[in-house]
Amino acid sequence: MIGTTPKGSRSGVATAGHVLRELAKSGGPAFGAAKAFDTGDGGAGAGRPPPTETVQHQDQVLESPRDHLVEMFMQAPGFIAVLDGPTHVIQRANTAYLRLVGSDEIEGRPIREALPDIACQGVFERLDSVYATGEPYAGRHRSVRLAHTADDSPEVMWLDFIYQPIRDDDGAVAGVFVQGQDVTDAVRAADRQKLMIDELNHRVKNTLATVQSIAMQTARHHPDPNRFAEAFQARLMSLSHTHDLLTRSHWEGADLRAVLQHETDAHGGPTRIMPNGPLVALDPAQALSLGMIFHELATNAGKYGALSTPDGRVFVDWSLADQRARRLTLNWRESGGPPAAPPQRRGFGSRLIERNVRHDLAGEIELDYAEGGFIAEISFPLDRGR
Amino acid sequence: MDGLAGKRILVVEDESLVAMLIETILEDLGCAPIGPAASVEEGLGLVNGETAIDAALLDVNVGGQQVFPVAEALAARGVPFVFSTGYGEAGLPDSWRGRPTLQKPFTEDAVRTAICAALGA
Repeated sequence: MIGTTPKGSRSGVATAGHVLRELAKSGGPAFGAAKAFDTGDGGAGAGRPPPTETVQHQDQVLESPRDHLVEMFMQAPGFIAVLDGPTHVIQRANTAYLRLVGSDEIEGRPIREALPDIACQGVFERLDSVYATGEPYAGRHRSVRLAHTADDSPEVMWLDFIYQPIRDDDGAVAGVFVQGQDVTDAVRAADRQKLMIDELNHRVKNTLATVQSIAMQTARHHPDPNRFAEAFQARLMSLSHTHDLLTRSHWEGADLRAVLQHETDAHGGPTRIMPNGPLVALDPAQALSLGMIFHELATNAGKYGALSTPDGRVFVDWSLADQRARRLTLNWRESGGPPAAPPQRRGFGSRLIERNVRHDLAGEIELDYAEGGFIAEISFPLDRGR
Repeated sequence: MDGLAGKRILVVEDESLVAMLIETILEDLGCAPIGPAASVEEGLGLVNGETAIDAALLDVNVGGQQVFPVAEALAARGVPFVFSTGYGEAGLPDSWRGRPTLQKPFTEDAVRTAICAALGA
């Protein structure tokens, strides 16, 4: 400490090496018990005992910083241990360290004996090497299998740590200072994030393939570029609407009624397409499929069915049957429009509806071109474990 | 037509729109699509069934499952196959690398090339 008196430097300055040595030296598990805390810098003051009153004064001054030091050591959020000698006797371990290894009876024992569970994981060998070479060792995001209590089965933890050699006054390695932190939560969060990014990549590519398919099939049925653009955009927007809904729930799923309303808003909304049924939670794949189905049904109704006239309406009723293997039945019934007639040629829209129900939803569909209006009845299992 | 005319190609793909695209492409190539199977179970049913299969196009991820049991069943019968995945070959475990792989989205040309490579045609 520059600028302090020689006396001050003797009492106040403790190098990092000294702190470690002092922690290692002070005995007893509760090592708050005050002993003379030698802050000498390697014997510079040896043979020159200071006057008695100064010693007493120093003891008073020192007791408090030393207690603080011990307290900080014990309460430090990271785990810390001081290991002594070639067998790494655990001289000191703070609360975080004891919590990590799930035992408070390790002090005073060589680490191989105190923590037999971590044998064969490279820990002891690294400590041996730090002790032998005097080279510190830093580990980042290293996994170790540890049991938190004697009864627990070991679980994988991820740690950041440093093994730092502790040197004696002659510079020889006398022990190893272990310090680090449990980064298991951070490593797991990073793993989850990677999984989510992989899943997102997969979805983006699949969505692109879906859009490609819509473009190709729409083009085959609409050779005229203007009509192609119109139909293609409408389908793209339909897909995008369901995506919006799913984004709001972080891709957990969506409610059936919300999907219906999103997809049919452009066709007059709930005054013309009247929803009636219980809350039904759809998973993302089901929501996307039903979204496309509703879009095609509403577009068809707008072109040829009930929604092509000012007073026509569509009643959409749904219900759930069988609580153990839940099955959704949905009825789309058009009314007040021109009489329905089977199409001359099956368009992409009706193929898309049928394929989506049978293939993606593993369900069944019946189309009825009735005199009073078109009816579609769709049913599919809700819990397919997808 | 590249020796693909009349070939019976099993399609395993869980998204109907993508399956429809594949079917359209296969039909344009003169092939006869079989399936499409929307799940591993359905795919295995078709492989183990009576239908003759010349080659297969397998989506790696079908209905939340990996398609490899179907690939194993095909390999056991000596039927060549092509993987299709959003990741390309990087999405495959090491043991399945080196097979013809289609990366989504794909062109008609890419489908033809991959199936020809699988058939050695």
